[in-house]
This record gives sequence, C-alpha cells and structure tokens, in this order.
Amino acid sequence: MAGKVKRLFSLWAHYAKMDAQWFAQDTGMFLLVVFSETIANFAAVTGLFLLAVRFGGVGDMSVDEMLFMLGFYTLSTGLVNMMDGGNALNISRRVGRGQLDHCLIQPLPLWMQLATEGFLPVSGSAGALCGLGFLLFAAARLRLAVSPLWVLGTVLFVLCSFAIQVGMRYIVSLSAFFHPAGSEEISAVMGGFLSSLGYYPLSGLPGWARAALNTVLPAGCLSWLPTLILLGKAPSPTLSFFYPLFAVLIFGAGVTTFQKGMKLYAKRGSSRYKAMGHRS
Amino acid sequence: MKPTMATMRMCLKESSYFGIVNLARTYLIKLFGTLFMLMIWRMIAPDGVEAGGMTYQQLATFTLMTGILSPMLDVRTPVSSWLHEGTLLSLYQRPMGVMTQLVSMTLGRWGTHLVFFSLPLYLLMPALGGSRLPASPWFLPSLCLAVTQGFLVDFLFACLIVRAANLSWQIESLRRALTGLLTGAVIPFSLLPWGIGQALELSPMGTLAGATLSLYIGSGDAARLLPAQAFWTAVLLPLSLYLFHKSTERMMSYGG
Repeated sequence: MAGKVKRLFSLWAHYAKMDAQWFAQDTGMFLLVVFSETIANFAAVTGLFLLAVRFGGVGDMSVDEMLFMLGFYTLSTGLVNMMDGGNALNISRRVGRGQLDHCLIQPLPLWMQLATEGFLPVSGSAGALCGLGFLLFAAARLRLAVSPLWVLGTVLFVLCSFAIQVGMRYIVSLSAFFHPAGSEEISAVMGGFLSSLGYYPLSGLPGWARAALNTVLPAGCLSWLPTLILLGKAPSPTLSFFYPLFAVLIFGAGVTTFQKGMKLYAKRGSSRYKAMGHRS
Repeated sequence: MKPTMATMRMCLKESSYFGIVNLARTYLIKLFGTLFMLMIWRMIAPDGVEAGGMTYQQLATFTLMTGILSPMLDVRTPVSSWLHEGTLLSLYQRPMGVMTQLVSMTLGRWGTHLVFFSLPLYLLMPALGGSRLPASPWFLPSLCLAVTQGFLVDFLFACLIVRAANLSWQIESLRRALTGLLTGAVIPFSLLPWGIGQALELSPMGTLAGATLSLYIGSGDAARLLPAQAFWTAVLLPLSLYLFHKSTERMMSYGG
C-alpha cells in the first residue's frame, strides 16, 4: 500500500513537472492559456454576482454570501478541471473511443493512471486559484469566525464537491460500455449539467425540486448546500455529517459502476478497431 | 439554391446522428438552465414587484426568448471547430463557396433546436409567465441584423483561431464565458450595476443579443438600437470578409 501511495505521488510530481516544462518551452502560449482560463472563470460567475450586487443579494443570500458560494463553486470545479487534462474525468470518451485499450497495456493499474494522467497543477490551476481568491475575500467580508475546524471543514467540503462531480461522471459512463457511439459524451454532458446549474441558490425552488437537485441530480451539492452548512444557515445541523457521507456514496457508486462496465468491456472489447467500428 | 438546400438537409440529419436520447439530454440541460433563471427572476421580482423597472413577465419573456432564439443570437458556424475536427478539408473540396456552405450548414443545424426546443418552449411561454408576442414591431428587423452580425462575428473568431493555431479550445472557452455576459443574452443590460449595461448596450457584442431581446420585451429603444446594429453590421461585413480571406493561407487542419 505504501508503495502504491509513493508511486501515486511520484506520478503526480512527474505530471506537474511536465506541465511546468510547457511554461519554459512556450511561455507565450502558456500565459495565453492561463489568462483565457482566468477570464473564463471570472466571467462564468460574474452575471449572477452582478445581479446580487444590483439587488442586494438573491433570495435569502446576501451579496457576500453569494460571493462565498460562487467562490466555493469556482474552487471545486477548478479542481475538477485541474485533474481532467487527459479526459480522465470525461471517462465515457475514453470508453466510447476504445482508448481504454491504450491504458490496459500499460504496466500500471488503471485507477492509478486515471488518477494521475490528467493532473495539470500549473496550466490548469486558474479556476481553483480564482475560486480560492473569491472564497477568502468573501470570508473576510462576512467576518466569519474562522477556526482550524472551520478551515478543515471547508477543505473537506470542497473535496466532497469534487468527489460528487467525479462520481456522477463515472456513474453515467456505464452507458458508454453499452452504447459506445451514442454515449461517448455522456460524462461531459453530466459534468456540464452539474457545472451549469451548480452555482444557483436553490432556496426559491419548491421542496421536491430542491430534494431532487441534492440527491438524484446533485447540482445543489456542488456549492449551494455546502455553503449553507459553512455559513451556519443549513436547515439542519446533521447535514454537516450527511453531506460528506453522500459524497462518499456517490464516489463509491461511481467506482463500482465503472468496475461493472470494465467487466463488460473485458467480454466485448471495443468496436473501434473492427471493420465497421464507428471510428474505424 | 439546390446545393444549399441539400447542405442544410445534410446538416439537419447529421445533428441527430447520435440519436434521440443524446438530443433529449442536450435540450434537457438547456431547459433546466432556463427554468433556473426563471427561479432567480421569481426571487428578485415576485408578483407585483418590479426589479430595476422590469416586471416578472418581462424578465421571464427575456429568459425564455434567450433559450428559444439562442442559436440565432449566438451564431456558431462549423468554422469555430473546423480546424481541429478536420471539416476544413471537406469544405474546400466541394464545388460550392466556403462561406455559402458555412451559412447553409449552420441554418441546417438550427433545425433540431427549433423543433425540439424552441417550439415546445414557445408554446409553454404563457404557462411559464412569458409573453408570446413581441412588444415592438422592430423586433424582427433587429433579429435579422443580429443574425447577420452573428455570422460576421463568428468569422472574426475563426480568423483568431487560425492565428492562434493550437489554442482553438481556449478561444472557444473564453468566447463561451464572455458571450453570456457581454452580449446581454443572460441578464438584461438595464439590470447590471455600475453603468456596465449602458457601456455594453451599443457595443458590437452588446447589439448581438441584448438589442433584439430588449426590443422583444419592450425595454429597449428602437431608435438607438437599430442604427447601432446596422452600423456594426456595416463595419463588420468588410472587415470579416477581408480578414477571413487573408486567413485562408494560414489555415491548417490538425484533426479529423
């Protein structure tokens, strides 16, 4: 186990080094990428923030609380982007395109490849850094009583939001094992669904819709629910226990589902290289 | 005309290649986005309360029309992705003008959106609090100008992608993020704070969606917006044609 953990960190270090080398090789392009990613991250949440400024908040959230939520959202989706350099999180693309074969011939467990190969801590960090900036700025403006426990809770909740996004992408990827062509993009679609709805305050929705968006299609779990818990506005204190539990369940379901798909893949293989394969 | 119609039909069929389930989930996500925005408007402007001088009906109409007209208010021809998808090569091999092909392909692709998303949403408008009729007769001329301007802006982005070579994805993600805010397609300009809306309203990006939508809901002044749209179309037409022509020598396909 210790050997695997060591190997995991060693691979992350290798990918980080390769990403940093890009900076040395083509500084202009690198800076352009970071700049465009930063602007894109700012712009994505600016609309809702400007509305909050204009009307002194949205629903039961003040401007600073909205900024905190948007920061939390940008940070957790930024972490997802940082780990998605090689379609490791848009996993249905790898399945649908028959690219798992490329991984299976490597002398490294598949999970370790998927956990490390998309790591872009330098060029892909713009979103996470922007999010962290928003979060800290909003926390300062809200004058939150920041204790070590609160910081730990925030870090844990960001990781939970990350785990939910990854888990959901892997759960739906099962469909790509059955319908490689039609479901090639399903993980990206799920990711897009969660991220396009994950920064709205859900307090204005009817109860059934709020429940659905915090369970079956957990867009609310990306930032709205954890923000309420961290700001002490959650309807029940038990949510601070159930939220991490839910994240573990979703992530676990993603792993289990993908393993089931891999069993099917072992029997059927990929249609990519067949004469009539959709990408032959 | 026959080749144009054939290209449109081909692209209409192409957009349903991945099946009805794929189409359904794409439009379901769009529908959720629209409904979420309606929820935000409901929180900001409950019944009988005006927000920034606008009623809930105007705001709901604005958001619903954004969804209904989205491919026309943010025109995306295949040119945005033709370098990395390899479409470029096929287009230059056909006995038809490249620009004509791009326009007909785009119009063909609008078909699925109009049938599966725009029409149902238009029919549902009254139930969702919106109005099916435009508040100003100038809406239609404005829409025509917005579509023309949209094609020209898309060609300019294509020139940028040609220049930037491998950065096409970055330019696309930047464009997607900025489009919602700068074109006034997500939030009416009159609701933006700090005078941002006034600054953007008459800009080349702002007249793309904001002008048409504000005329539809009756919050825009046709005497200011239509001349601005006509002006930008007149400026962008020669500019985009010149730059597009100049970019052809630099084009290279790196995908397929």
